[in-house]
Amino acid sequence: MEWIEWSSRMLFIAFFLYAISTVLFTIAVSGMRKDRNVNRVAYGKYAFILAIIGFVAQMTYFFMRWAGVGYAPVSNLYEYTTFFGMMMVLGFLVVYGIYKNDVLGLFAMPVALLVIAFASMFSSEVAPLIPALNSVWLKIHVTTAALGQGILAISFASGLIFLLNETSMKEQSKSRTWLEVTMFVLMCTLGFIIVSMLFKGIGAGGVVEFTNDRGQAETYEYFMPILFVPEGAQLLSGASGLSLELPNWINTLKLNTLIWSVIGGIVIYVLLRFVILRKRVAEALQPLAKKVDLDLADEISYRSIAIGLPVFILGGLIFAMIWAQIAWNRFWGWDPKEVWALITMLTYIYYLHMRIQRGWTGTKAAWLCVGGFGIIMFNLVFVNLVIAGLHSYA
Amino acid sequence: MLDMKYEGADLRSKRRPKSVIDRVWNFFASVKVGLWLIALIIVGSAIGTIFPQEMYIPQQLPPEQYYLEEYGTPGSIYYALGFHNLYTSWWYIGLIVMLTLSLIVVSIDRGVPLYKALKNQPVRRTERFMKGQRLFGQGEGTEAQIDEMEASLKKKRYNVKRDGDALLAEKHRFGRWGPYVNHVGLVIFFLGAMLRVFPAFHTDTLEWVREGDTVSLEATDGEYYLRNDQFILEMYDPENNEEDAKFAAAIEKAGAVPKNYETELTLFKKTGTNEDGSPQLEQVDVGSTKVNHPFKFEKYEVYQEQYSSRPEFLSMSFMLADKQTGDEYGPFKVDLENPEKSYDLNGVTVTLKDLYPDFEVKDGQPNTKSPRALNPAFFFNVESPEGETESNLIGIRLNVADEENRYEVQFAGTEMASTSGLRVKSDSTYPILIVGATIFMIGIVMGMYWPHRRVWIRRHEDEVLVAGFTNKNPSSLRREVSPLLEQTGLPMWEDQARFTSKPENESTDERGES
Ligand code: HEM
Repeated sequence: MEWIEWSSRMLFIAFFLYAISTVLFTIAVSGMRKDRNVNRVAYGKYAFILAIIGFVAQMTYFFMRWAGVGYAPVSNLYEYTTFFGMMMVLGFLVVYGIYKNDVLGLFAMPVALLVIAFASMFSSEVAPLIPALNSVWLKIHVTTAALGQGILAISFASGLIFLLNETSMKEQSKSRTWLEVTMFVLMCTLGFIIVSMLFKGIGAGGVVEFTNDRGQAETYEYFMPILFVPEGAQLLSGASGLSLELPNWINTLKLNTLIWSVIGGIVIYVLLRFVILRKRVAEALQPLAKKVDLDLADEISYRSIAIGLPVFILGGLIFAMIWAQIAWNRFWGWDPKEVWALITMLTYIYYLHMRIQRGWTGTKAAWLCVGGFGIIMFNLVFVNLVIAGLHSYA
Repeated sequence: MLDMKYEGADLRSKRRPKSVIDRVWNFFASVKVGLWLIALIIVGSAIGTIFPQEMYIPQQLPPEQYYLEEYGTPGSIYYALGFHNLYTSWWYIGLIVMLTLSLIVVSIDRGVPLYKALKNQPVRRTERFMKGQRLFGQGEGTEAQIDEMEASLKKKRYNVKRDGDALLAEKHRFGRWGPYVNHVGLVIFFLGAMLRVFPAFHTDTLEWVREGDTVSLEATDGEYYLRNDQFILEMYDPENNEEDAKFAAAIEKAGAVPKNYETELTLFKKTGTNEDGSPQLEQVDVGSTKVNHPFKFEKYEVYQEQYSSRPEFLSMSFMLADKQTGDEYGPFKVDLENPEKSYDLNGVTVTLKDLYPDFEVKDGQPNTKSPRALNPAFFFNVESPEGETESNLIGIRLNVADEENRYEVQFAGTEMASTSGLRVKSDSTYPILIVGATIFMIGIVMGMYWPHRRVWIRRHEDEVLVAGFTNKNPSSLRREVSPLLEQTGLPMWEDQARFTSKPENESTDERGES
């Protein structure tokens, strides 16, 4: 048990170090208002070193938890998502090592932070490993796939940099709109984290009982104020307020969480847009993105895909097939998680071919990088939580 | 700028089509078509995950009803459009077949000319060719400087060729073959996967084997027999097992959590037939199969796929009590597979009139739901030494007998056995799939990790021309070679295809401040 407690502390320290590293990258890129003469190069170096120490701390978390639970801790959503965040940091460290670009840190580190914070919203309880997961291939397949995804995710950061740099904020365009939508989605993730912590803190949930469509009694335990309930549900505890009844085939528990996250996202967005920044979020970020020339941003995206895709294919498809053969006696079964891994690969393959054959570099390519990351996150979050399949951990 | 994709080679697909074959060729050689195929496969695959495929839904309900009840009208539409079996639909398979054709054609169409062009490339290129490269520069320079450049490029592990005052330096050409290698691997993989539609290439049967039983394996055409020696179901036990104690909280919430499913088994080979028709078996191997650790023999694999959560009864034993004298008779044992008709117990005769392996009452009559001994009930006649007969219906939590009866039948013990569902498989396409996947992976790595880089230098009139080409990451090529150009004092090259920010954006750029 001690191992596990210590591992949680190490994770917290890692998170903290990443956060400071992000701040230092920000200073390195923008300089502070009052002190324009800060030595930006030195700040960039410190930021990078802190990111490395943070990574080492998180590795310590990983191996301590491994010692504590007795298997590679990548077997539920909490463990896997945390690991994915760590692999994003590793991906960043590798690409930073090649290009030494501080702006990349400014964009990549916050995304990794968001992913790790998101992970900590899931239950970190130590659970026994079921026989199907009890295999060396658990560590081989999952860690390689996550590493590939982590490196691929760097192309999201550099793709964003490209788009923020290149898109005109003065005139209406599709790029401008969609950039703002992307920012909003990131805010909703943050919204989910803040809202979850808030409501868990004040205990604003409740329990309802209802008859599901198989005719059995089922209960939903809400951790957020109840907005939606299934048809004919009865409140067992907590306050229902103005809850709306919806048909039974909709999972109102998940819908409830989603709507609250979006509400949280809207609040953050409105605060930023109209109170704090008083301009579009993308517009506020643009000066930072301008510090990278477009060619470099475009090349970093391509590089991280070139490095990450083979790793992902090896871990997420080839090792996956080997394990599926051993555990489920078929190497491919069109399970949603498998299909979305295939879609991830095909999307980046599409990117590569468009680039090499049809000259898709720049804006279109950068949007594909954003889309690719969207698919990775979709596979992580949505496929696990909403489309239940063999892989669903939750 | 020059299109360097195939060194300007003459592609069959770029010629004017003369016949139908040419047109088909051109269709499949078109990268545009190939990319559409990939895009359609992406969209199609995604649609297939909106609701579960038919193979993953529970089988109690007819599918159309299931999709309607579970997912409402959207589910119903999904079913009506046939998306519940999307990945075996003709159009999805059609897309994969077309993708395979496309991969074959495109790789021949481009790979062969590219190979020839790269093999026979001249060192001295035309001015037009060099100016057409993305990285290009011109200016003053001497042949001595070119010699010096040759040495520094060699240090960077370039292969350098000279033709007088012209130079060609090249690195990682084999990386150019990466795409072709990976396409070939993919084609092999797909062909292997397509072979699986022929039943001759694989066998796949599920054998239910009860503990102690020996079954003939259908997949091996009766050549091999398997005995289930014991089925092991282990649960996590936080109370008694120290290792598992840390999981106590989670197990309390989830209920019992299984730790291991395993069948210990013995493998026999049939060597002949006995006179009574039963097989002569020779033991070949003993072992076990558990989840994630299949048992292998020859080309077959035995997977622990299922088990019957309700063990079957092998036998039941009974005692007979004389209510008048208090005497007890027995015990006697009824073997459920081969029950004896009657049992003689010191003069009292028990006759088994009826046996219901899976007892239920149907229309007021005793009946059996299935032939499996899951819930057996017995109808006995008991005949006293004096010749009086009474009847008894006895089963689990069931005892129907006349109050006046002199004898009472009581349970004395049971023997039970679990049943394992073992999946026996063989597949002769595996080697093809493994070879295909390996070649694919090698090709991907070759193509992605070894960028092909070339540098040309030559004197032209009284100037030196410098040009560079790479199929990926021009700025990395620049970072590698520009310092060398600078050191030797040769003209610096420029990237001729740089992005430019929109000028109106420059105002927000703070670059000038620092
Ligand atoms: C799932 C299917 C496919 C995979 C995994 C795949 C993979 C790849 C990869 C990794 C590259 C190297 C890209 C780069 O260097 O940036 C490549 C190049 C290429 N692919 Fe594919 N590909 C697929 C399908 C196709 C199809 C359907 C076509 C055409 C109809 C095609 C045509 C090409 C061509 C022309 C190249 C460039 C070759 C060169 O650089 O000389 N590919 N492919």
